[in-house]
Amino acid sequence: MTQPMETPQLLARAAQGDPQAWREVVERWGPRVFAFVRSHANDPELAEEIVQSVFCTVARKLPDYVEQGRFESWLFRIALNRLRDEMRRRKRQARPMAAEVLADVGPAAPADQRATPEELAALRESMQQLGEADRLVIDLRHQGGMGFQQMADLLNEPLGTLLARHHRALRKLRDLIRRRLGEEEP
Amino acid sequence: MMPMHDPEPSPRLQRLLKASALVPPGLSDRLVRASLPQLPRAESPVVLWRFSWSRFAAAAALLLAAGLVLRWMAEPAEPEHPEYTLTMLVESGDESVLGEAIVNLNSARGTGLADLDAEMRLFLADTRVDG
Repeated sequence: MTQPMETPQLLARAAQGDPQAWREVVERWGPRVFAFVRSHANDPELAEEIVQSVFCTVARKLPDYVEQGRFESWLFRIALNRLRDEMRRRKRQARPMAAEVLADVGPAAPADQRATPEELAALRESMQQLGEADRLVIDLRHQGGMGFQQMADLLNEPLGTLLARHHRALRKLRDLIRRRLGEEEP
Repeated sequence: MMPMHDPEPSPRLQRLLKASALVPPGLSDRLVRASLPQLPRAESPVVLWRFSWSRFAAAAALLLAAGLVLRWMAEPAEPEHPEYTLTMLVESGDESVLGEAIVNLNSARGTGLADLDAEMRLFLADTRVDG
């Protein structure tokens, strides 16, 4: 089995037009960008459209991009800008996704990650109740899989501020989910 | 005081978030199909380089420099100081070259050719050593 290529090497080869390297770029980051955009837009079709546009932009700009260890911040910044533009353009409020749509999407999660439809509905609705800034840090961290330092670079915020914001957002989300599921505070 | 060193969600919330992060099947294939045409084409060994303005500027500068060198080489050399040349030629005793030098000297000085020419030829006749 071949070792996965290091990011700078992979990006350099993709930038030279190597289709195999580009496929690996898409496979490595596409699902994470999609998960982030879909969670934030709460619309899988719009999310795929946006992610396609993001990767088209990245493909065009990659030959001029100089990798200094910030590729993910760059990629997610493009995604975030594109997402905001699209949401503004369509003036579309994020809509709760129907449970059956969510159930149709993708392979089943592993057993230890399965959640009941009620739990997932509670999560979605609770996310919608969070403020934009809180939702953004949770989506970037838990759907986009970004590190805190990368998020700090992307959002141009001090790391400590970001950690505190993330902590507050998680606490709010947890409380909202408990309330929706009719659970008592521990 | 807000605790800041608890960055991860509880196991249950983490499980919920992971379960919600689903990706539609075939997403990567569709993304590759859509974005691959935007990627620059791999350079073929026949076409060694693509056009770029910096390369164009470098090539233009090189051509200009080459043109200037050729032009400089094609220009006739400035005549050396006439008196110095004449002295040297007289000393060498080569009459045919001397005639040309006298013409150059004349045009440089604007003086009458005949006197100078006659004077030089007399001088040469006196100093020539025939073999």
